[in-house]
Amino acid sequence: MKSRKNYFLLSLSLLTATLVIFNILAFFISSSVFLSLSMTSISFILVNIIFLYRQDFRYRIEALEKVKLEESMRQLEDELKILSIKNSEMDDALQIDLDEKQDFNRIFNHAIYAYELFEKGKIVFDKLIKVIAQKTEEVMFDISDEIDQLSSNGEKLEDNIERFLKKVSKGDDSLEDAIKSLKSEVREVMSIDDIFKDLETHYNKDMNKISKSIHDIKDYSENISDIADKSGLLAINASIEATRAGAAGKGFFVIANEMQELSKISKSTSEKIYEMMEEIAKMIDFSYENQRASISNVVNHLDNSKAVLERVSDSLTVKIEGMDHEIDDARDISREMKEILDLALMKMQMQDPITQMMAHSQLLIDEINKKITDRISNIKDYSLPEDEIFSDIKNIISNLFTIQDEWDAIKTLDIPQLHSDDDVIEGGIELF
Amino acid sequence: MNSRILSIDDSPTMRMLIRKALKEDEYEIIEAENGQEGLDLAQHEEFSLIFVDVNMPIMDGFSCVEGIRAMSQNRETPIVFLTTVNSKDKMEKGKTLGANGWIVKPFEPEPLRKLVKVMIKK
Ligand SMILES: [Mg+2]
Repeated sequence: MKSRKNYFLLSLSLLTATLVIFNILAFFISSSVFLSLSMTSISFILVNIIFLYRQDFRYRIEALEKVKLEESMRQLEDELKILSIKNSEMDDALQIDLDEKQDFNRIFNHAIYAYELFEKGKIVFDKLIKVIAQKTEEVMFDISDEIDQLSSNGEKLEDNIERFLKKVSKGDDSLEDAIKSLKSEVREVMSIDDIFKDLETHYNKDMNKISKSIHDIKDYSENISDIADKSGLLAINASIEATRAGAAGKGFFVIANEMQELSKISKSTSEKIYEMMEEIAKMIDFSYENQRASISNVVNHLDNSKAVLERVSDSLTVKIEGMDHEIDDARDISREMKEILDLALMKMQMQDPITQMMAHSQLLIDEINKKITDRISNIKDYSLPEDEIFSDIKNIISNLFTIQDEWDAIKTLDIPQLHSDDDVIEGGIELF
Repeated sequence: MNSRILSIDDSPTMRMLIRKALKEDEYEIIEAENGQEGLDLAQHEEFSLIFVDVNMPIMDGFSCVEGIRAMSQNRETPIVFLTTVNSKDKMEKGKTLGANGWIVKPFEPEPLRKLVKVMIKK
């Protein structure tokens, strides 16, 4: 542009110079030719000046437009700067909002975790306790049968000895061998008395343990209420956070309310478990007392028989007749008593799995309580995969359960791939 | 001298029942009420057979058997688990630890007596 302008300026200067030369020549020569040439030059100059002026005008406009454009570019840049500041502010705000949301999500995930774990654990506990109660009742009544039989045989034995005594006092002929035989049979029965006394002491120890466990578990069901309280507390915390978040937290607030409702329901269920446990404890105490009374009844009968026999032996003259019948009776009674005792001994082993199940149900509540407490105190450190509750309850159960009755107790629950019937050892003895 | 049998179980009833079941055959039965006690006894005394429960306080049957098998004098001693535990994988664990057998409670006295005879003859 500038070079064009210079070119016009140069040509204008040349024309002006030519015009001056022609004017000087026209003045000195007074020629009309030079004059007309001068006139032509003037018109050229004018055209050039007009052209030049227009050029310049265009340049000016262009320059002006350029300034305007630059200015608006600057404005635009400024606006963009402001926008980008606003944008990053918005980004930050968005991030904060997202973090808060994630925080709420975490809290609710943990609240839901605590609640779900508690609910699942409670169902397992409930099932286990029912099996324990049922098995305890079975053991109590089963053994009661044997004890009753032993008791009535003890009475029979007393009658037998009494009859024997009456015959002896009549002073019949000497039957020393028969007396020896009877004495040995009766001695056999007396050894059952020793076994039973031994059994009474040891069995009492174990049954005391079971009774104590029942009362312990009753206290544990109070613990369940604590857990329900904890998930309720979690829900309250979450709802406070949600309220703080304002409108964005409305959804959370609803969930939190729901959670509180659920934990209220949990609490009332655990109170029902507590009541149930109280009933079971009473029932077990009652049948245990009955059983203890029958055991001591048997021991009394056997003790009486022993005393009577000792008296017989002491006062025994040598004249006895027709003792065969009494000897046979005594032999039958002692055989029968041994069989009954064997059966009772088998059934008494059932207290062992019951004791185990009680220990396991206490540990179950302990484990769940530990997990929930841990979760609540470290709430920000956890992320929660979806299947964690499932795997947690699965882990707790498979670490604890060792008895078929325990697996049977939770068979109906929706906890997959824990244990199959194929994993059970059939029959009593396995040699490697 | 009578064969000596170590019976390790936390339940007094179970210990008594084992004693009663084996009494007639005239064994000397020594009892321990948890894994640790059993381990101590196996360390200092000699036994022809060891019965061991799984669920016990202080030390369970698995740790107990592991400890007993680690003792040079007990590498060959027959050890039989006598327990309420009836899952196959726990039994496999017992086998891996070096036990010779697994009995699920409740046991019957007669088969137990037969097993003791077989085990001690070995
Ligand atoms: Mg045990």
